[in-house]
Amino acid sequence: MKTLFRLVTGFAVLLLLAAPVFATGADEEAGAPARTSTTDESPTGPYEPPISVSYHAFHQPAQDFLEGDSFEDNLWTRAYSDELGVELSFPWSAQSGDAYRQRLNIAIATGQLADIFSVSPIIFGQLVEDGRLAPLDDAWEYMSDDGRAIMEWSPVTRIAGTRDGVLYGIAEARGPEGKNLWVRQDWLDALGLDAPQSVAEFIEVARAFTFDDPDGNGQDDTIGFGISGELDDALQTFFSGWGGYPISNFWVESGGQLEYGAIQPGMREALRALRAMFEEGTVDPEFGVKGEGELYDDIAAGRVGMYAGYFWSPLWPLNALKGEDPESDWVPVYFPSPSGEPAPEPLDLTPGEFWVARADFPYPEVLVKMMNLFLEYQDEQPEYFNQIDANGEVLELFHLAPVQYNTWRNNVDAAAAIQRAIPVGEILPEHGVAPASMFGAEQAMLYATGADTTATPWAYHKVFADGGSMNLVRWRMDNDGYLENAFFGPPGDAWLRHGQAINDLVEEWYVKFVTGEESIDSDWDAYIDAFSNIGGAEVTAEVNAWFENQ
Amino acid sequence: MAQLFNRRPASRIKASPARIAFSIANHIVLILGAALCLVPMIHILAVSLSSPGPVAAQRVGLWPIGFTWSAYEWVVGNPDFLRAMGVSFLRIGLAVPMSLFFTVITAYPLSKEKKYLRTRGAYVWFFFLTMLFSGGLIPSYMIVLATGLIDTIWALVIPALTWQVFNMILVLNFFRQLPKSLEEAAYVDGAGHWMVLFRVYLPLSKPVIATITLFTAVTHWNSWFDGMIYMNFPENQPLSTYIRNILQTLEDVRLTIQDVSLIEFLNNDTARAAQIFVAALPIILVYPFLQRYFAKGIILGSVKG
Repeated sequence: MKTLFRLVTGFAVLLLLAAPVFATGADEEAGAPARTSTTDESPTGPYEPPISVSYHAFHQPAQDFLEGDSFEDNLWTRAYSDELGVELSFPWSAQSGDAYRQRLNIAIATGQLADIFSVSPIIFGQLVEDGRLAPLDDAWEYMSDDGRAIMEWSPVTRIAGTRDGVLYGIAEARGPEGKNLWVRQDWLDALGLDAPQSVAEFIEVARAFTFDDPDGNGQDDTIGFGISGELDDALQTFFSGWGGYPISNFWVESGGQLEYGAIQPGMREALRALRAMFEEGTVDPEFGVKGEGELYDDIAAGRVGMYAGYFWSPLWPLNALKGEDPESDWVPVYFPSPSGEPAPEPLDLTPGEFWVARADFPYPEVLVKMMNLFLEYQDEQPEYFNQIDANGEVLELFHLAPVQYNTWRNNVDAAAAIQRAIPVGEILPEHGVAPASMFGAEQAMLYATGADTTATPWAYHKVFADGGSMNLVRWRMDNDGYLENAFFGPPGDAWLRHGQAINDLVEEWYVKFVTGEESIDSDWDAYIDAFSNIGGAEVTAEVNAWFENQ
Repeated sequence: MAQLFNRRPASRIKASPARIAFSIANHIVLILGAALCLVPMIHILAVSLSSPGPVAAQRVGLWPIGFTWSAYEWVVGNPDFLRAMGVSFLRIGLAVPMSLFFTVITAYPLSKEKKYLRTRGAYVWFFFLTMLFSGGLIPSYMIVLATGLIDTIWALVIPALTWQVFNMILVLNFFRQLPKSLEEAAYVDGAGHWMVLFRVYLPLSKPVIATITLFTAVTHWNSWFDGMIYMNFPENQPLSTYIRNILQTLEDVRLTIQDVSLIEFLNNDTARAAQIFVAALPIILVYPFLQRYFAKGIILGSVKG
């Protein structure tokens, strides 16, 4: 039996060793096929004869279609075919981000990459190193002026997509998410208070919302300032008011060196402020065991008076509360800071995703041409973005364009256009509402004219109209109200190894400090040591090595 | 065990306070355990039968608020859901009979003593090793690709035959505890191995067959990963993969897509709850009918008879 066991295990081990050999399929390394079609230099010039292009598809569930359309044949695929001479196909389609990552990893390992596809920064770096991506410098020359303007606003995206001076990936410009403080307006009115503009007022409002029965039900069931144990992203702006940045891989420059945001002295002061509120009871005593989902449930149930949200918060979760309680109303304000100025919103513009072309694909510029078509249609062809069907339901059709190139600025421009239209009482062409934003504009107008004051029109009005969250975003743009991450390179090896542990550590100590399990006064050094020991020192060295080369 | 209890007079069991205490504690623990399994399911059912408003406001517990069938009407009229359910039923219809057949004909020779099948140990080890090691995702994918199974229903059925080793061991052990004399009598009457297997062993093995039928059916009904990996297009994916896709968290998409319809869709708790419940229904319905075979059916290792 023993010999037999050895024999069989030996055989199994042999198979295991051999597995990687089988795993390197080589469909794509057969030598680059030559170009057989031509195209002109204009941004959306067609290919003659038409070319076929494959891509890895991410198709969201519950996609809307026009009658008779499908993922294979719809208005966007017909547009690519008619205008660009591009016949699109996809070898597979994923319906979730997780499925896309799994399928892409398989495609990479088995050598079955499509012609064009999108990848995360980490996979992007590996593919560039392995020489499996096409240089896009020549392709970039086809980019339209609109597209170039997007890249110019956010140079970080170009730097992140470049390796050794060669452009390999084109990323959409990421923008601010409008991380600000949302306050229950109807509670302020009930108690005769104003929205807080200083730290003292913020604490006072939190007290009133907690102890003065703002919902008037005679019960002590309200939370002044809603936070969760997950260190919500939106709370970053609260911390930055004091100069603390508990944000994944976020760095600030100090004396010619980069230092990690979550161990800044300002972080300590911000935690002291939260600790004081916890002791008073104006933040949820149970916050440490609650996740962001539970916090949102509390908000939707009307128990929370203030919380850190986003520009889109009226669309979720505030609309859920509005649907239940039509009297509820919210106002977005800047987080106050000890200096009296609005707290700057931390901004990480490093892209989360790149569009790339396979190394031996002969027409990499097709990526740029497809982006150009998307941008052109955005200005001229609203029916490619949203349509209303026979039942009055909105069909969101723009997801059917596989390659999009967009800018979050659309939302800011839309807000300005809607605010021009609202005093007139109807949306006219001269107000300049972009077709892609027309649905939101119409909803906001319904609320403004009083025709429909239910949750959805209210939510769009709260985002786009005067006094809405978009105005805060625009003010920050005009008044330098952002603080950018000083590090914008690709995540390094040390970060990939220790990043998760560092994020967990920061979150864990945030809860311990605020609940008083660790003392902010006497245990702060232990926190800094723990950060260094868990890999922080290594990451700091790596990031500063990158910084010296900039 | 049954004999052990019967020998004791009923009065003596009642007389012992320790025994009563044990019995009460035992019941409480078991009822709590059962509640732990049942309560989430009842909550899902209540959510699926409520109006969206109270659900979003987190007011729905174990009883529906604002009772409505609308989520179920939506599910029944949702072609994607029904198609995925069709794929799942087809998968079970193919996989369960095939798995049973191959499991039984593999277990039968391996249940024989070593003097009848000298390489028996080697075979058992060969199968057993597949429970410890797997080829990994990429090699498995390449085999399925090279054999042309990709994007066909067979990709969900044929590779899954290799998941049957544990069930095969169950059947093997069950066969071994059947009385030898039955088999010998059949041989004397002129039966061959096929006849013995199908006419003598199988009729006596209903408990274990019922058990592994349930195991196999549940495994196939629930497994989503192979549907995601081997099926290129959503129209070929089974129900479990479909459910998995709609259960994406808000977190997952927030960073890439900031559009309203998807956020609304992902927050449509009632529709999701209805789909989860309908998806679990077939298993809930089949379970009670097969469950009574369990105690006899699962015989592992040295417990024989």
